Amino acid sequence: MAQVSLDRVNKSFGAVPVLKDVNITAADGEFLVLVGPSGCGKSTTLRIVAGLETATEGQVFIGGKDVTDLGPGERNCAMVFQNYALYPHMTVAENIGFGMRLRRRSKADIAVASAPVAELLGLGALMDRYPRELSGGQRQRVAIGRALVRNPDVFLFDEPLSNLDAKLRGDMRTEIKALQRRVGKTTLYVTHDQVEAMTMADRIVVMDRGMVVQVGSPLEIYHQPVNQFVAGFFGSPGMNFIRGRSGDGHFVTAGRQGGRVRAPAASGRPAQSGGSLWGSPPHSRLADDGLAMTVRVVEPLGIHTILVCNCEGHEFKLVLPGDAMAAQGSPVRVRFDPQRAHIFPA
Amino acid sequence: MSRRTKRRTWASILLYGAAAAYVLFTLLPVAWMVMVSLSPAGDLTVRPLRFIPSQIEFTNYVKLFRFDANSAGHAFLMALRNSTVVAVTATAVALGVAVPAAWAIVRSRGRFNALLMTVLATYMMPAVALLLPLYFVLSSLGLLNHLLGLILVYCAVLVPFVTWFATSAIAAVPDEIENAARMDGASFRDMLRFVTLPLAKGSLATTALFAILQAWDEFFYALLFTSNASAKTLPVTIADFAGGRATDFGLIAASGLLTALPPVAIAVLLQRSLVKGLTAGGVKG
Repeated sequence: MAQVSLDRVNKSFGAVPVLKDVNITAADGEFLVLVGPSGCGKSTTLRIVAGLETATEGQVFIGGKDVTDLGPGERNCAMVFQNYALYPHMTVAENIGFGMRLRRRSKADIAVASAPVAELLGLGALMDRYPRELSGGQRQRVAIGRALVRNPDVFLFDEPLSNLDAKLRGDMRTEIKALQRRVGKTTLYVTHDQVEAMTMADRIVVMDRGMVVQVGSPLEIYHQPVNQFVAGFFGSPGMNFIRGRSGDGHFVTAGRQGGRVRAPAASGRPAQSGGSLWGSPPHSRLADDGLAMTVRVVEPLGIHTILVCNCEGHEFKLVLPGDAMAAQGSPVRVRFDPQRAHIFPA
Repeated sequence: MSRRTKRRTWASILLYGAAAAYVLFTLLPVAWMVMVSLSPAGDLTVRPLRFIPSQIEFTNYVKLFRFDANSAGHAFLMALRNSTVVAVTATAVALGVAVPAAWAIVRSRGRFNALLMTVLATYMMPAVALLLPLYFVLSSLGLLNHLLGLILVYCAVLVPFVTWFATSAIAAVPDEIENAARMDGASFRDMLRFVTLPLAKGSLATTALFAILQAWDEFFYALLFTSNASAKTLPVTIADFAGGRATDFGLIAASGLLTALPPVAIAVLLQRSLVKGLTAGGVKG
């Protein structure tokens, strides 16, 4: 059992606070993704769990044990770094076996323990190579192997895919998730990429400016964002928003062009006066009534067509069926699924 | 011949001319020393000067390796021992102090930079400024004319310089690699031993070479802090050869060449270990 929890963790670098009252709990075996823009404190949070940074205040528990004052080698966590952080002067086999070598295991032992990991990650043929002789994807695989072979209680990933090209990133995403399912270890995964967060996580922790903003399953976060920041961060294309105000069941845009539309029912926090309307691109559609906009660009992708419209200076995207037609520059009217739109106070 | 090839010919003439001048300028004195050390004593006093010896003799070298009491050989061999002990010990101690210090300076992200600069400033001071204080300190410790005293002085000179060099060697090792080692369960000592130092090896070897050279060639302090064969180093001893009533140029040339040999040998050996691009591939470049 290795539940990981951070209890009221604060961290400042000098006078600069980087984490404010962070409370996070990852259940045993859970794949928890910390996501947020750069500088939101997600990596620092991970490094505090790893023991590479110490919390200014608060405690860290792994498997119910207080590890706040333990060093990084004593927590039985394994970490995969963004830049791979392989030992360049050691072969793949030596990289993977380094931890065991430090614990004075015999060479034969190390080879026996490394073999299944190498097999699992397809590194068998590369064991005698040096990191400089490997491609980016292979290096990252070695870094994962080094983490895996230690049979840790907890896996920590710090943006492991951000140095790979798009195609490889997609493959590795699947691979890491499948691997985690197979070994069943509690995993904390840091990324700034919302697609990675959505596709890999059991639960997502959204962070912004050193604080936890929302915790929930990917779909919860996507459909019920607690504020504009979360709403704007997820989805591809991302959420649309338009300024205006709401009252008596309707939302009226701030300018003259847009007009009036029925206010969304799903909005848990109706704003009496100022605010903005957020609508997800796939749940907006063309209609006879609704907000008036102008088509700026049409992006046909085959499966669907993305319509980039302009409404009172805001960019507004719609995801329509692949055969949808609209002429550039033509005026359209857009209606939202009231269950999938939100009004947030300004 | 077209104008273009003509220009190219001129360019190569200039290039090779410059290279030849450089080689002559740096190697001629050495070549001359070799000639002088191998010439019979008579050749060195004739006029006009003979560049090519009338016959090759090794008597100067033989003299330097004869360990008779009060002979030039005795002085030279004692000095060779003293120089070796002083240079190697001072360099080893300096590295032992400077490498952990450099690590701390680099990994504390600039918190100790002012300290490093202050220490470096002492290194910029002319030797003569430190002479009197050092003399009094050594004298009160009873370490004048003592190898330990000289080692202490050289450490004081070498530590700032070695620390400075070592900081850039260690800064070149990405700290993510060190973090990975810590996550793998390495103690601080293991991390330095298995990861940081092997990766900084090339630059640290160069630093060590410079440190040894500096201690090996140092003349000023050695001259003033030592007074007999028990502590005199090679540069001082060679100077003594020139100080008698009749200067034996052949002997001076031979001892000078022999003195230059160990550092040259070390440099050649280190050259092999200075493998380039050692850190390539560990992290995304």
